[in-house]
Amino acid sequence: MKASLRQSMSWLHTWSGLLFGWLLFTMFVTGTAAYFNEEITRWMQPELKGRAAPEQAVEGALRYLERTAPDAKSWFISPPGRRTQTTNVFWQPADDGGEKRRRRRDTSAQLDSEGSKVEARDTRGGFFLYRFHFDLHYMPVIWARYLVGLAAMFMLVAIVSGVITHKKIFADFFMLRFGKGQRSWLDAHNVTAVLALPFHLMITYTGLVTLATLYMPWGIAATYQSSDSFFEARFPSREEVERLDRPAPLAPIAPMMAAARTAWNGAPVGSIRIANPGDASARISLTRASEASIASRGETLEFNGVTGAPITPVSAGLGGAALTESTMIGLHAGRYAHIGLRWLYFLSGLGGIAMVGTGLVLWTVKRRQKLPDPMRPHLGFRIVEKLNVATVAGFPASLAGYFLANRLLPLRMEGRADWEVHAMFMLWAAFAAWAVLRTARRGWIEILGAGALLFAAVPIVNLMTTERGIVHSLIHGDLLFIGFDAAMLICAALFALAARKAARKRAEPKQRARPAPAAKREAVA
Amino acid sequence: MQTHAPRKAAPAARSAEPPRWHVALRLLLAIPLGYGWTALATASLARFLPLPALEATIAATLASFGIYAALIVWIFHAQHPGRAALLMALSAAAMAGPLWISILLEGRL
Repeated sequence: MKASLRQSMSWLHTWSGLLFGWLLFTMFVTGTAAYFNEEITRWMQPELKGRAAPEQAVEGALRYLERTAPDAKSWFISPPGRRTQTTNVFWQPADDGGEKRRRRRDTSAQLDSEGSKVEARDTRGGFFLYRFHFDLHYMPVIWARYLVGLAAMFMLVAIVSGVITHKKIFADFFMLRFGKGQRSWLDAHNVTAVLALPFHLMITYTGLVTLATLYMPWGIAATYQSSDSFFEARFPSREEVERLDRPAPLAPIAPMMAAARTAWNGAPVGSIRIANPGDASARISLTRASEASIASRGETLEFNGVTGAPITPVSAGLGGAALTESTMIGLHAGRYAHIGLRWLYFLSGLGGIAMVGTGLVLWTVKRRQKLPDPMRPHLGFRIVEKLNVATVAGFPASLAGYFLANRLLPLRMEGRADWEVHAMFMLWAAFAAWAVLRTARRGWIEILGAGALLFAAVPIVNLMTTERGIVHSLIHGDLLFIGFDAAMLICAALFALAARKAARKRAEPKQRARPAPAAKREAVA
Repeated sequence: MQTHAPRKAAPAARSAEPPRWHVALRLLLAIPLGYGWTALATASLARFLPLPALEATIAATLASFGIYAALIVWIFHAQHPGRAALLMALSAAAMAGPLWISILLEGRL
C-alpha cells in the first residue's frame, strides 16, 4: 500500500469501527446507564424507602442469618452504602458437595435494616444493565465475554486509527456545521469523539483490563504453572479454617466495624464475610467499600469471630503494577465517583454513544451518494442501514420498555424479573422487524418517534402505578425519583428531536452537488 | 501522529489500488497472527521484565493491549504486507527462543 498513513488508517478506522459498531453501541448504552445502576435498582423497587445505619443493618442481617442458615459454611453481608438502601446477604450451605446445584435465590436474600426480608417486586434492576454491558444475554457468559473483548479491541484500534486519520483534531473541534448532510454527520462524529477522547481511550483500555487475564493469559502462562498459582499470589487467601465443632456465639460486630473505619480513615465497610459462623473457629473479615477509593480491590481486615481480636494481615499491600491494575479497573467501574463525577461519567458515556452512533450513520451517508442507483442500494448497504436503524434507534428505545415492564407486569408474577428482561428484548425484536419492513427513512422516523413516546410514558405510568409519582416526589423532595423522571423526559425529548430531524431532511442526495475539493477531503475521513 | 506528513504522491497512488490479497494478508497478520505475536511479547515481558514475578506478569498483561493495538496499526501502515510478515516472523523467533530456553532452565512458579 503506497497510501499515506492517514489513508491507511482511514480504511482501518472505517472497517474496524463498522464490524463491531452495533455491539459497541449496545455496550455503550448499557454501560452508560449502569453508572446509575444502584439508582435504577432503587427506582425499580419503589416499595423500598428509608435507610439505616450500616451497623444496625449488619446486626439485623446477622439475626436473619442465624435464623435461616445457622450451620452454613460461611455468610456474606453487603451492608447498605452511599447509594443503596438494602442489605444483601448470601451464604454457602454446609452440604455443598454432591447435591444438585441450588438456585442462587435459595441461598441469598435482600434485607431491610431490621433483618427481615424486604417486600418488594422481583426485579434485576440496574444490575441487569451492568451485566449486559459485558455478559450480554441469552448466550453463555464466556462467549459473550470473548465477543465483548473482541469488540473492545476493535474499538481501541478504531480510536487509535481514528486519531491518526483526524489530522486537524483541534482545529476541527471548533467546527460543527449543522444541516449540511454528510459534513454535519462527520462534524458530529468528530466533536463527540474528540470532546471525550481521553474518556473513550481510558474506558476502552480499562475495559479490556477488567477481563485481561481472560483475554491475554499468556503472561501468566509464561511465569506460573497454572492460573491458580497466579491468583493465589495475586490475592493471597488464608487457608480454610478447620471447623472445631464447638458452638460459640459471635462477638459483637459493631466494634469491629468501628475499628475498620478508623483503620481506613473513615471509609465504610463494603462487605463482610463470616467463616464458620456459630463455631469456635469463626473468622470475620471486613472489606473496605469500593466507593472509598479509585483502586477497586478494597483492603480487608480480619478478626477472630469469637473473641473479636484482630488478626494480623497476610499481605503487605500491593506492588506498583498490581495497584495500577486495580486503579484501572476502578476508573472503569467508577464506583468511587461521587454524584458530580458520576454525572460526568454518564455524560462522557453519552458522548460515546453518540460517537458510535454517528460513526455508524456516517458509513451509510458517505456511501449513499456514491451508489450507482441510490434508490436501489446493494445488499451490504441495505444490511448496514437496517442494522443501524434497529440498533441506534431501536436498542435505546427498548430500554424504556424495560422500565415500563417493571411498572406494568403483575407484582406476583412467576419469573417476574426475567420477564422484565424478556419484555425489553421482545420490544427490541419488534423494532428490528419494523426496521426490516420499512424503508430506512421511515424506520428512523417511526422508531425514534416510538422511543420518544415510550420514554415519555415512563413517568406517567410511574405516577399511575406507584405512590411515588412526580407530584409526591416533588412535594417530598425525593431527588432520586425526580431525577429519574427528569432523565426519562430528557430521553423522550432527545428521541423526539431526532425523529423530527429524520423527518425534515428529504431527498438529501439530489441536492448535494458539492465542489470537488470538499469531496476529496471527506474521502479521507 | 503529526510527524507523518501526508506524502505528496498519495493522490496519484490511490488510482493504482494495491492487489486485493494485500488486505487479506494484512487482516491475517493483524488479527490471528498479531494476537499470537502479542501473546509471545506479553509472555516475554512477564518473564524478563526486571520486576518480581507477580509484578512483571501484571505489568506485561496491562501493556499487552497497547502492544496489540500498535502492532495492528503498524501492520496496516507497512509498505508491503509481505515485509510486515517477514519482520513479524523474525521478531517472533527472536522472542520465542529465549522464552523457551528460560522456561526450560528456570521452570515456572
